[in-house]
Amino acid sequence: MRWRRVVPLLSLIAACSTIGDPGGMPDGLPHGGTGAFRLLDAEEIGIVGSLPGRAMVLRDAVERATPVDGYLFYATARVLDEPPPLPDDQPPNDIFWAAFEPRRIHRGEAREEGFGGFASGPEVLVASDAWEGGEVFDPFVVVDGGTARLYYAGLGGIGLAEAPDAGGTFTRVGAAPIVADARHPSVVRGVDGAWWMYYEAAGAIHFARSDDGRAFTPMGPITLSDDDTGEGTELRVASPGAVRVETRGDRTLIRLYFESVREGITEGELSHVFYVAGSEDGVTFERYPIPVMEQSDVRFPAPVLVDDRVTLLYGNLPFFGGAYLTRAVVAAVGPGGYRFAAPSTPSP
Amino acid sequence: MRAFAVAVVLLAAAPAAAQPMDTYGMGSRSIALGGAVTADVEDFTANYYNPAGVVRDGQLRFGVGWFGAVHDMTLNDESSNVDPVHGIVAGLNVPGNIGDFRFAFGLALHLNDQRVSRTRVLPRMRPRWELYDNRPQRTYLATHVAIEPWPWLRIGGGVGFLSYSEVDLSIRGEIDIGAPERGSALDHDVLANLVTIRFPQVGIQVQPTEWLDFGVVYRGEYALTSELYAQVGEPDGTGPNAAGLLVGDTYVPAYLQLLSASTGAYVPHQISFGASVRPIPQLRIAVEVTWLMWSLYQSPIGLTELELRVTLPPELAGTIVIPPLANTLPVAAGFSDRVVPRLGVEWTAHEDTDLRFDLRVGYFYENSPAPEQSGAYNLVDTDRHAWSAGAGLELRGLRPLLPGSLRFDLHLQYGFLPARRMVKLSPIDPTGDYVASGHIFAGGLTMEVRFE
Repeated sequence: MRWRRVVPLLSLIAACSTIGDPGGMPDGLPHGGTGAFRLLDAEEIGIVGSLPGRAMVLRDAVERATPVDGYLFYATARVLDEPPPLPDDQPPNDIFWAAFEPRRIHRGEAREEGFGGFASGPEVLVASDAWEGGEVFDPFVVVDGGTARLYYAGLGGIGLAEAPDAGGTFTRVGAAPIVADARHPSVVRGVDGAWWMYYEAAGAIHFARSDDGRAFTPMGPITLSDDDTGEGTELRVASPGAVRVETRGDRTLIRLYFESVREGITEGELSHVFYVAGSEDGVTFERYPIPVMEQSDVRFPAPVLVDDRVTLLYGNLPFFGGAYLTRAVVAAVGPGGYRFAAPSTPSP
Repeated sequence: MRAFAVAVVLLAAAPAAAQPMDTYGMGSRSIALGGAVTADVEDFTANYYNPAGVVRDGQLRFGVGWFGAVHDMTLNDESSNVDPVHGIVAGLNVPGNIGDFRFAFGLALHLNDQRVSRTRVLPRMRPRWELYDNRPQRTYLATHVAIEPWPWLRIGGGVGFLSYSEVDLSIRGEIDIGAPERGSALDHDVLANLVTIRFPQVGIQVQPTEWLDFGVVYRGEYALTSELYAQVGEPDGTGPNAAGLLVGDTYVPAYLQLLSASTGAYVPHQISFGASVRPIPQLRIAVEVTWLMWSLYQSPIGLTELELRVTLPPELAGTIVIPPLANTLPVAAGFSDRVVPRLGVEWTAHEDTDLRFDLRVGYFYENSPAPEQSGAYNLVDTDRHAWSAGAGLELRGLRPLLPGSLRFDLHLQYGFLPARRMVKLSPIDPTGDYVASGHIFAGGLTMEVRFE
C-alpha cells in the first residue's frame, strides 16, 4: 500500500522538475568603459526634473563640473540684472557669457538621497590674479594624501590652489598660471607614478608632467587615432577628462574621455559628442570608434570609476534656467544596463 | 511613416554545441571513477564510454539514474549565471548468443529535465563560457552493437544522436511604425522541428588476463551550421511580398535581407586510451588519456550579411537617411587540441554472496583548448581539475524476487576552474581585461538491475 502513495509522489516531483525556465544571464559582464552610457533617471539620482540625468538643481549658468570625495566642483555665474541683447550669430547651444556675471568656482555636496546627485554650494575660488582675467572656471580637484589640489582655468591658462582636503579652504599656489594658454585641466597619476595633466590648448589635447603636482612641464599634444565611425566630420577634440584604470589584467591604463567637435550632424550647428580613448603609456591613445553617449551636444566629460566595471560620467547638456541658456550638469552611467538602487523618495 | 505589406521569412537552424557527457560524464560509477573506465566498463554507460563494453558482462542490465550539476562561474567576480544541468540518465545492455558467438545491443539516454534542447545566440563580442554555457543543454541518445569474437577481445560500435531545433517562421502583414500597437496587422506561421544529428562511436576492449584490461574508443566529430535568413519585401520592389514605407502620401519601396550563419554545434573527434589493473581482487586502478581535437573547432562567431534598399523619390532626398550597414565575417576560434588524463580507483570494502560495497575516487584534468581572449571576442574557458568520489552498494541475495542483483551507485564531483587572466591587446577594448574562474558541483544517483 505504501508504494501506491510513494509512486504518485515521486511522479509529481519528477514532473515538476521538468518545468523549464528561460535560463540565466550574467549578473554583470566585464566592461571597458566604452559605453554606451545612459543618463541616470530621476529615481536613481533622486532629483525629479525635466532633464534626464540632471545631477544638480541650479538656475545659474554652469559648464564643467568635476566630482571628488563627495563634493562637486563647478564654475557658475548669475545672469546680469540688465543683460545685453542676444546677438544674431550666437550659437544656440553655447552660453552667452556676456549676459552673466564673471564665473566663480563653487563646491556642492553630495545629496543624501539617490546616487550621483549634488546640492549647490558656496563659492571656493574667486578671480583675483591678473592672469585670470576676472573669472575662474574649469575646476578639477585631486586629493593626494593630506592635500587637495584645485586645478582651474582663467583666461591666461591653468592655475592651482590647495587645501588640506576637498572640503577645506583653498589658497592659490603662486601668482602665475602653471600652464599658460590652456584650459580644461584633468590630472591623474600617470603610468609612471608621476602626475600627468591632460588639457586643451590650440584646438588639441596636450599633456604635461609633474613630480609634485605643482610644477608641470608641457610635453606636447597626445597622439590620438582618428578612426571613428560617428556621424559628421570632426573639426577638433577638446575638454579631456582622464581616469587611471588598474585592470584585472594587472596593468595600468589611462582612459581619456573627450569632446569631438563635429560638423554635419545638425545643420548649421557644431555638435559636441563624447568619445573615449585608451592608452598604456599615457601619450599614444587608441580611440574607441563609437561615441560613448548618443547625445549630440554633450560637453565637459568628467569620469569617476565606481568599480572596475561601472563608470559614472558627468557632463553638461543644454538647459534653460531662465531666459538664457544656462546648461545643466548631468550624470550618466556605463554600461548603460547598470542601474543604481533607487532612493526611497526622489525630491526636486 | 507606415510600413506597407511587410513579409518576413525567417529560417533558423539553430543547434547548440556538444554533449553533456563530455563535460560531466555518464552514470554514477563511471563519474566517481573520473571517467577512467574505457578499459573495462560493462554497465549501461558503456554506450558512451566504450561500446565494446556492452557485451562484456553477457547479462541483461538496465539502469536509470538522476544527474545534476550547478555552476559557479565568474568573470571579474560577477556571476555568469551559467545554468544548472540536471536530468535523467538511463540505458540497457541486451546480450545474445549465436552458438558460442556472443553479441549485445546497447542503448543509452541522457534527458535534461529542464529543456530538451536550447538555442542561445549571443552578440558577437559578449563574453560567454564557451564550453559550459549552452553546451550541455541537449538530449543524447546512443545505440550500439558489440561482439566478443574471442574471450579476450570485444568490439563495439554504433551511432550517437543529439537533438537540435530547426525553426521556420513566416510573418506577413502591415506594420504602422508610428503606432505599431494599433495600426499593425500581422499573420505568422511557425514550423519548429526537433531534429537529430548522428555521429559514429566505436571501441575495443582487450583483456589479456583476468586482472588487466585495455580499451580504446573513438567518438566522431560533428559540426552544424546555424543559419538565420530574413527577408522583408521583394528585391525588385514588386510582387505579393513587396514592402515599403508610406511617408505622407508617398510610397517608398524598400527591401531588407539578412543572412546570419555560424557554427552552432561542434563536438571534436575524440580518442581515449585506457588501462585497468587489479593487483588484488579488492582493488581496481585505472588510468586513461583522452585526446580531443579541438584545433578543428569552427568558431561560433560567424557570417552576417545585410542588404537594405530604399529607393527614395527626388522630393524625399535628404530627408531620410539610410544608415550604412556593415557585414561581418567569420572569426577563427583558434582553439588547440586537448589531452585529458584520468585516474580512477575502486576499493571493494566488503563482498560476500549477498552484498558488495565499493568505494571510489577519481580525478581528471582538462587543459583549456581556448586561447587567451586578447582580441575583441570572448570565448571564455579555463583549465579544469575535477575530483570525484562515490560509493556503490550491490544487493545480490534477492532471489526469488529478482533473479540477479540490484546495484545503487552514488557520486559527487567537484570541478575547480583556476583563475585565468585575459589581457586585451587594445587599451580601449569594450570588454576590457578580466579574470575568469569557477567551480562546478555535481552529483547523482544511479540504480542498475542485472538479470542473470
